[in-house]
Amino acid sequence: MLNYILRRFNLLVTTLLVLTLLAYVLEYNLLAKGAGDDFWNGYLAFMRQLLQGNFGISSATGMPVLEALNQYFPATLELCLAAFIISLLVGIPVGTLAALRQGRWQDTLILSGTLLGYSIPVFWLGLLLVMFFSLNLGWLPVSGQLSLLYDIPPVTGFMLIDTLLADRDYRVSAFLDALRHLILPALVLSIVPTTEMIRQIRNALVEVLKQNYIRAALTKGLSKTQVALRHGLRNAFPLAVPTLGLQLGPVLTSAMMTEIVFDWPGLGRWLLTSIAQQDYMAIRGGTLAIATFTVTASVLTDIVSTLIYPTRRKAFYVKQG
Amino acid sequence: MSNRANIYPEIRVLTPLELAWQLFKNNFMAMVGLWGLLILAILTLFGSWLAPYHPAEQFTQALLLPPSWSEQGNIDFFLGTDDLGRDMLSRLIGGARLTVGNAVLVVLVALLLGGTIGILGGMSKGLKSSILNHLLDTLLSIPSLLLAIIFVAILGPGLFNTLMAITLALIPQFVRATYNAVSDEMQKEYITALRLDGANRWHILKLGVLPNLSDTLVSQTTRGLSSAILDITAVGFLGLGAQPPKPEWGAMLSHAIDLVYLAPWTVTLPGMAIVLSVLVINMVGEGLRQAINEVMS
Repeated sequence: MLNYILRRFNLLVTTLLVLTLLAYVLEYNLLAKGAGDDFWNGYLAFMRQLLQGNFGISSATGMPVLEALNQYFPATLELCLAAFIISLLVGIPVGTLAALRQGRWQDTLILSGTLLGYSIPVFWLGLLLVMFFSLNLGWLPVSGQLSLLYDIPPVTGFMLIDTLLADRDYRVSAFLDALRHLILPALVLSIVPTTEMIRQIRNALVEVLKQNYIRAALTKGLSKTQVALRHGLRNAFPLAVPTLGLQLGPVLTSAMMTEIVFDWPGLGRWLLTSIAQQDYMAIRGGTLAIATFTVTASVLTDIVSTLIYPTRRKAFYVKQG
Repeated sequence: MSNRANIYPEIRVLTPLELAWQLFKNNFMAMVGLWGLLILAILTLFGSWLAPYHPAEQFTQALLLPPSWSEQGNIDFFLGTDDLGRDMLSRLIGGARLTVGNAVLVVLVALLLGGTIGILGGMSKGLKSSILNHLLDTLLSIPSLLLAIIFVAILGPGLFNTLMAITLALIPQFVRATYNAVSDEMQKEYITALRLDGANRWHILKLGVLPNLSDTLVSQTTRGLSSAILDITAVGFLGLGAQPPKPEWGAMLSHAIDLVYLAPWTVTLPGMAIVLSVLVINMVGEGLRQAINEVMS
């Protein structure tokens, strides 16, 4: 087990090193060519700076890149978390329903729905929803994170928490406003993890329902729904949960697109503005941060799911022997 | 000969390919997808002859004309015109080649390069394949769209750079899929039997491995195709891909954002085109995967 964790961490460290090397190559080719610095010496110096938390200074705003990351990252994370929560709330029941009605019209309908979900570009879905809910019906705000009327000092960077923490009279109305701003982008973004979640839960549950212990529970007289909820779902989770970690990458990139459509002040919008302004320090810092985040998260979900679910461990022991 | 009754009950054994086609044919969704894909292919290949106008031709007397079924519409411009008076239908048909055609090219290159690397890696053992494995894990943990955006950021915006970037971003997925399939196949016993018979690596590859790769390649290719279309349009939408006068669907969308309120059809139509083309590809891919799985099991 320890061996496994060490190998995973080894992978993590190598991956991060490769990433920093890539980022350095970018900088070396674009900026430092004239400096006449030796490549590897330069890389060592670059790594020393990185380890001290020095990501450079943005050439467009004059702000340290790390500060910008701190400012924009929580907004993106808030959006992604909301999308994941929606995907769990929708994906698990719908996936279970599809598995229980396997082969019938409910299943076909749900699977066709997920096929459509895979095919919709998030930016277009965002535009459509804005057109319908914000422009035609006027129910929800078009863009941004909070109405300009409210002045909320940033504490955690999560707008929903900050509005509640703020020492203002309009705390509650600001919170509700932030919530109203969050609904559309989170819904749009959640299409990505939700479709995947439905598919994974459905396929895992279909596999689990074929097992002998399910048959045993059925012969004891439990109803099919009871068996699926008590025995099936619990055993289907270990098969489906690791995909949540793998979904983080696609969700983060889709979040970039969503941020553009909704003008959400997050990492993606900042990164794309930096690309447009050719602000290389910011591009480097932003991509490093996003890549580090996705790689770390995927390795961590791998380790955690192996630790929690013994069935995943079993396969690993067999390989070792 | 043919009308003589056959008195012997003969069982015709279908080849795997025929069997797969039988299964595919009976799948309604997959057939709908196949017809859709056929239409899409015709539009992509012969679009410039089928389109009523040139995609860049401007009709200054017909700016922002709504689609023909609305009150103010004009049948000359079936799907309406955009803010520069260009015919939407012609632009969408022209965009099929830029979006779908380029996606096909990108996937073919990625399939060739990635497949070759994957096969070579899967046939080899030890350190070489272990390094490949680790490197791929690294690249795969970064989503292809982000990789493409980073590459475009380095190379500079433009359609060609976008295509290069998306190819580079897709290759690891193809390498990974073929690598896993080949190394799984290499561990099977009939391969050992082949080797004991004195077959060299080329023979093993040709007789044992390649025929069994079909399901992996098919599913990976359709998946790659749909993600290539989505990535090309996404990069185009961000303004980093095809540049405005070109009727690439993503670029059309990003140009139309300002018109959302004034002319909603300039936003909905390119998006519909993207969704429909990705959907038919996914439908065909799903049908093929099901059919091949059925045949294999």
